This record gives sequence, structure tokens and C-alpha cells, in this order.
Amino acid sequence: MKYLFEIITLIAIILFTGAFLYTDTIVQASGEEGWGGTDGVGSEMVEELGYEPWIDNSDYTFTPPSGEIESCLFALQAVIGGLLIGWIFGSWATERRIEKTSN
Amino acid sequence: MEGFLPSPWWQIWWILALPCLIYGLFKLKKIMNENREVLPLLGVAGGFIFVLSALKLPSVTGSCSHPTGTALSAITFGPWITAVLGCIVLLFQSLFLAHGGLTTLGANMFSMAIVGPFVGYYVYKGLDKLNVNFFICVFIAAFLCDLVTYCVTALELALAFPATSGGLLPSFAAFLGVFALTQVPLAIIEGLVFVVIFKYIVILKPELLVKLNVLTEEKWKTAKEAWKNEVSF
Repeated sequence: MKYLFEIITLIAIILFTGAFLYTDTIVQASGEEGWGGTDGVGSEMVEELGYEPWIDNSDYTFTPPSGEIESCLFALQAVIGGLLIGWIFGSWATERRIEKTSN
Repeated sequence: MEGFLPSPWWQIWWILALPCLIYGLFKLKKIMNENREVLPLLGVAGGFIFVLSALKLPSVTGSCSHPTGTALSAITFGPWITAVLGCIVLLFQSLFLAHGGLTTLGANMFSMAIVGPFVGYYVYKGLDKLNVNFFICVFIAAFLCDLVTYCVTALELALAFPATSGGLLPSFAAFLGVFALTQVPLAIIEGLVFVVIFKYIVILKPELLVKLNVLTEEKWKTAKEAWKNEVSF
């Protein structure tokens, strides 16, 4: 099958999304705020031991002032990577096509 | 998680990560001088770390985590060069996104850019020697690159914060429960995504994989025969 890997990956992503929607109903029903980052959960576990972080990012650099700005910067990061990948794969594909037609 | 590693732990991870980074820079320079044509692949490898580590995905456990994206770089360029690429991404995140930090950069580098890729790379090489199907090797290596990263993160935290009763192990288990458990479904997806990516690299630029010793010339010829139905050349 030509698209075997693509199909398997797609099925896995659909199953993953389905599992997310299913757990989401449980999380929503529990009334607690869910879907925080694991980093946050980990930090809470440490803080429960009575530990205080001794340094914060805001001590030496800037912290995104709001969630919107943070997600904007994360999107920017993904865009930089995505552009690079798309450009290089695009050039490779064109290279291949030129090779094929010239043969 | 800036500030969450007390002295001396953050210094220890920095000291362990730094030689790997320097060796990686040395290797990077060497490979760039020897063959410039692998440069685009290096760009793609770095691009995937940028993209995938920016995606915070909700996992089935009710919390979010992000994949690492280090597999492409680890399998093709090895763990040392991956340490350099990972360092760039982590530095970007710690300076502009307040995600991670400069003191924890050593620990983050050690888990995401060194140990994860290291395990992935050598498992790939081992499976390759056993003549396992190329795409299965890629899947397992990518899965491990991701999962091992978070196991090491859990270990780093457990070492810094051993449980008051029982010491290291219960604490390690607790952190594993948070980090590794959430990561398992994401690691499976990441493994599958990298299989698709490698398929396209095999279609478009197989000669680069041969050049970087990911596939040997001989193996490539037999594989081409075997994959005729799965991959169009």
C-alpha cells in the first residue's frame, strides 16, 4: 500500500483525539481545571514539599506578560521551524522533479 | 521550570551537559567542512525540534506536554550534534518564552538533547544491525527519544527532591507518574510522525542517508526492492 504509513499515523491521531475528548468529559465533570502542563503539575509536587523556587525567569529576562503573548511566541517558534522544513522539502521535491524530467 | 533545581544539582547537570555540547560543536564543524550537502538536512532536523517542542499537546491523562522532535537529528547526525540543536531551541524557549530557564538549561539539555537522542541513536544502530525493518527502527528510536527525555527529567527531579520516607525510588516513581505517563501516547504519535517524515526523506534524498551511514549502500539497494509497494521512488 502506497500510503500505509500515512494511514496508520492518521488512525493513531484520530484515536488520540478520541481519547482526549473522552477524558475531557471526565475532567470537565470533576469540576477541576484540567489540561495544565506537566511542568506545572511537577512544580506543584515540589512546592508541596515546602520548596521555594530560588530564581525566576523574570529575574534576568522577560516573561510573556499574558497567555496570549506566550502562545503567540510559541506559534512563532513553530512557524520558524515549519518554514525551514517546508522550504527545504520543497527544494528537494523540485530537484527530484527536474532530475526526472531531464532523464 | 526555572528555580526548581537547587544547588548543587543545576550546576551538576550543567557540568555534565557542557562537554557534550562542546564535543557536538566540534563534530558539527567537522561535518560542515566535509560535506556541505548535508546542511539542508541539518536545517530540517533543527526545524522539527523547533516545531514539535513548541506544540503543547493534551494527553489522555488530563495534562499537557510537548513532544521533543529530536529523533530525526539523533538518527541522522547522532546525539552530539543533536545536543547543539537542542541547546539552541531550549535557549530560545528559556529566554523568550519563560519556558525552562538558564539555570535549568543544563538539566533540560541533558534530558532532551543528550540522553534521549543518545538512547534513540544507539537503539537505532542496534536494531539496524539485527536487520530490523528500517521504518520499525525509526519508530522505536523516535519513541524512545521522546519517552527517555521525560524519564530523565523525572530522575533529575527525584535526585533533587528525594522522598522523606524511602528516599529516591518513591519520589522517582511519583515524578515518572506525572511526566512519563503523560508522554507515552505523545511518544507513540511522535514515533509514527517520524516514520512518515523518514519515508519522504527516503523518497527525496536517499543519498544523504547513505552518506550519513543511516543506511548502507547495500542495504539501500535491497530495501528499495522490498519497499517497492510501500514507497514510490
